[in-house]
Amino acid sequence: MSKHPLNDPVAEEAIGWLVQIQSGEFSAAQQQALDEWRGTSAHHSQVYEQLIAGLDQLKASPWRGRPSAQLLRSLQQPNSRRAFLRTSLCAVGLAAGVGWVSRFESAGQTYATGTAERRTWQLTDGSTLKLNARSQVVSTLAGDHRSLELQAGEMLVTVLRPLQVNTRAGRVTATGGRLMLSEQGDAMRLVTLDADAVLQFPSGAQQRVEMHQSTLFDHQRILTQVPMAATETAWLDGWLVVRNQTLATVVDAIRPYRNGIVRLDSSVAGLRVSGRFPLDDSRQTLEALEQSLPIRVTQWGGMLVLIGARVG
Amino acid sequence: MDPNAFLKTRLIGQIFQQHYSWLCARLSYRTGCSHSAEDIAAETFLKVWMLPDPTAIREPRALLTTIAQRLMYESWRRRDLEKAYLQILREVPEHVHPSPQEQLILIESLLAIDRLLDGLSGQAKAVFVHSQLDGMTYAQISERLGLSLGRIHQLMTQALRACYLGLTE
Repeated sequence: MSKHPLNDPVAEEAIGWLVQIQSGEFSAAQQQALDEWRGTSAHHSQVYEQLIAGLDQLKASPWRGRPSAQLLRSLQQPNSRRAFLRTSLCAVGLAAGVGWVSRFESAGQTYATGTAERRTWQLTDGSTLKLNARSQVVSTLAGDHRSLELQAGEMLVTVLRPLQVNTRAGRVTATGGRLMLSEQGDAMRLVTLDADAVLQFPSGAQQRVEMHQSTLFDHQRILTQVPMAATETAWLDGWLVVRNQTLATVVDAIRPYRNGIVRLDSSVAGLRVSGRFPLDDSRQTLEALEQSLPIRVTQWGGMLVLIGARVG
Repeated sequence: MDPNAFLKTRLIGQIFQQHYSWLCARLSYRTGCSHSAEDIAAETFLKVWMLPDPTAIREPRALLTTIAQRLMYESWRRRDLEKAYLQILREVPEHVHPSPQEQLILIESLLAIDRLLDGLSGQAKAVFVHSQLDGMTYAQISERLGLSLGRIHQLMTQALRACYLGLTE
């Protein structure tokens, strides 16, 4: 497309001038001729100004003064749109196949909750499983050994016999007591309410976790460990209780209780929040947040909620 | 809220309610991932919100599809560029790495430059970047790239046409 002249001959001429100016050799006589050209009509000067303004904007790029070889190599990266489509479709096919095989082998029982739903199940061995909204656990029984897999969300299990819980970050084993596990972004949180547990990472490394701890871990290691707070189980009674947490954490806790989208602007995601909020009335929670923080909450038909900075 | 803003909110709310699930399903089919599909759907509705006159929308699904496709394309391209840049950073010592904050801004600008110069040959991009960002003269560029001065003029003309089209789009 750029190999052919533009439809607008004035724009073509303006570009001709610009190519001259940028060359590094531009004489006073040429400058005078350019000034005359620009004075030909309002359109001439307008097109010229527009191009100059565009180039100035580009010159303000943060890349200026940095190695342009890096920029050029990045720009030369081929477009992977097609490749991406191909591989992602393959990945879906593969995942579907694997899912079928593993279901076939283990014939596990799936427990799941929908949006704004909390539920409790009694498992056949007497243990109790409670799930927060939009959560999913698959339970398998091999001989005498029960194992659970947390596939999404947040769960609390009361353990009566030795039990292992698999998560995408690692495996938790306990012999009795209550354990809570939840997804936290890419990491997992384990709360040992009244049980000692052993945490095993995919590498095989193991770590003991004592009772009454709140432990954040990923697939490699323990990230943080603090004494558990009484408020961590508040969701069981339908409450979210936070002390000096980020707004992003609070919004993540509300999401499973709403249909549609909650979009949080990154400029306010780090604001600190303390308080007690009803999970089952997220509208009230959003109103309370809007009153106490410098944010603006816009709701559209209950399906889309935008949380951004309050202007003015 | 003034009456116009109220009408706009209601109108977009309606479009959203009627077409959101449809759009998500369509996008997750295309992207193979429901998570990024939701993100793109949300971005799409934001763009609709920013349109000067949403009451003029006659075919909401056609409009949503067009906007979503463009966003999807950009998100793929962003991923390409980000990957390329991070790969390059891996080859240089860490103490000269820009801060993570700066890296974000650089990638953002990289995407903008890429969009502006889309469709140009690698040589034309190189000429343009050396001239505009490195401040080199054509003589210097011709020496660096081993191209004649006439060729530099040609390539620069092509690059400026692309800029002009990008500016007036």
